[in-house]
Amino acid sequence: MLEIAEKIKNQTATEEEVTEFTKSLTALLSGIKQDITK
Amino acid sequence: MNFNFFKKQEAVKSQEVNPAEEIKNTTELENSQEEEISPERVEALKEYENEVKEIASLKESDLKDEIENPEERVALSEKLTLLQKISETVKDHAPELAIAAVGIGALALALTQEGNLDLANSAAMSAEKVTSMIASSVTAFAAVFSGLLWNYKNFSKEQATKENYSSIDNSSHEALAA
Repeated sequence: MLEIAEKIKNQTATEEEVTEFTKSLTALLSGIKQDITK
Repeated sequence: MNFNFFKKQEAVKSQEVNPAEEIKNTTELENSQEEEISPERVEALKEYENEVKEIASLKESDLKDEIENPEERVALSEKLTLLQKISETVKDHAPELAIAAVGIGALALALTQEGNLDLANSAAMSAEKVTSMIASSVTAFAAVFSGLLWNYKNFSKEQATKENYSSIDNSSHEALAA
């Protein structure tokens, strides 16, 4: 994810990479939510 | 709330603008880029939006009292650290993603019960910094998370640095007043 984040920062990420990054970010947030909730 | 991060990245290419000025122009840039967003990305953004909203709607009673298992604590710390690095990396090109950074402040502070204060403070500062440069609608999310902080039943004020804690609280009040 960090690799794509760097591409986004440098404005070199492709449409597919940004989409994949968004999905990965959603999964990361979901994992955190599960970790902290009962 | 409008989740449009990354839509404007091509539009701002080769321009040197400060983040606050760039964000003010977000709507205009979004409009010019709207047709370039693929259906797949639109769907991904909707799922991201839903996840953020779910996290923002968490109540005190939804949260674990503490994370006792050391392995679980380490796993959560790693996720929060990754999220923080990502937020810091892309925040200038994806202000909506700053919500994640704001969320980190609240989520990481849940760890302070066992004293992971460095991570909590780092996350809180990141959240406050990003929150100060984004739109009021997003800042309102900070209020949600800040309220969660205040109410987190096992959070110890004495553990957090007074400065960081106060700054987040101020963001909350400013957002509510807006």
